[in-house]
Amino acid sequence: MSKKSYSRISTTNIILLSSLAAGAIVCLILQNPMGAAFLGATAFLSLIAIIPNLRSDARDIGRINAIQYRDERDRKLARAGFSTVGASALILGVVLAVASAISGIPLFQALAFGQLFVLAIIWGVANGVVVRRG
Amino acid sequence: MREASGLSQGSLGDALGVSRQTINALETGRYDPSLTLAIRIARHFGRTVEEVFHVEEEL
Repeated sequence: MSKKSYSRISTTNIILLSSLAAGAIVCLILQNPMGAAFLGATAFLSLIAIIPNLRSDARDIGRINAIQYRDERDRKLARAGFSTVGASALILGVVLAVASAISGIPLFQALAFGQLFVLAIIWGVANGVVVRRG
Repeated sequence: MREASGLSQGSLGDALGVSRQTINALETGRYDPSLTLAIRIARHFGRTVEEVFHVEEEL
């Protein structure tokens, strides 16, 4: 019988939760209670989803979904999953950019093309890094 | 080898710093470990990597 232990919250989750909490605080300062409630609830629900997966006996699918990797297999499986997410994000980004161009709404166009541009930069940098690491 | 040592998948995983599921995936051939993990497993049992892992050569 192995003893149950808990891992710490991953750096990725700390960044995500901090961003949501900071956004909620900014919304409160800007007197946008709906935005604050939405972001605060998202942070709270995310934390509720993460906590059970800190246990050493958590299921692998739970840890991977919660971005709480325990070992090299978790990271390998997560990379495979995220590669699908990345390819899907690029396709959806192009679809969104096309839709924004048709709409003619300047803010929509700026956000859609900005997102596509950032995704393309990340794609190029990520490919460069993995090729260098061989 | 693990069972002969009286270890559960969970306790071996804890000893090696990996999950129970990873030990299960290794034992059932669903996961090939990194060289680092393969060496750690072999050292844990006092064996060589070749004694623990068997590779079917493809010609």
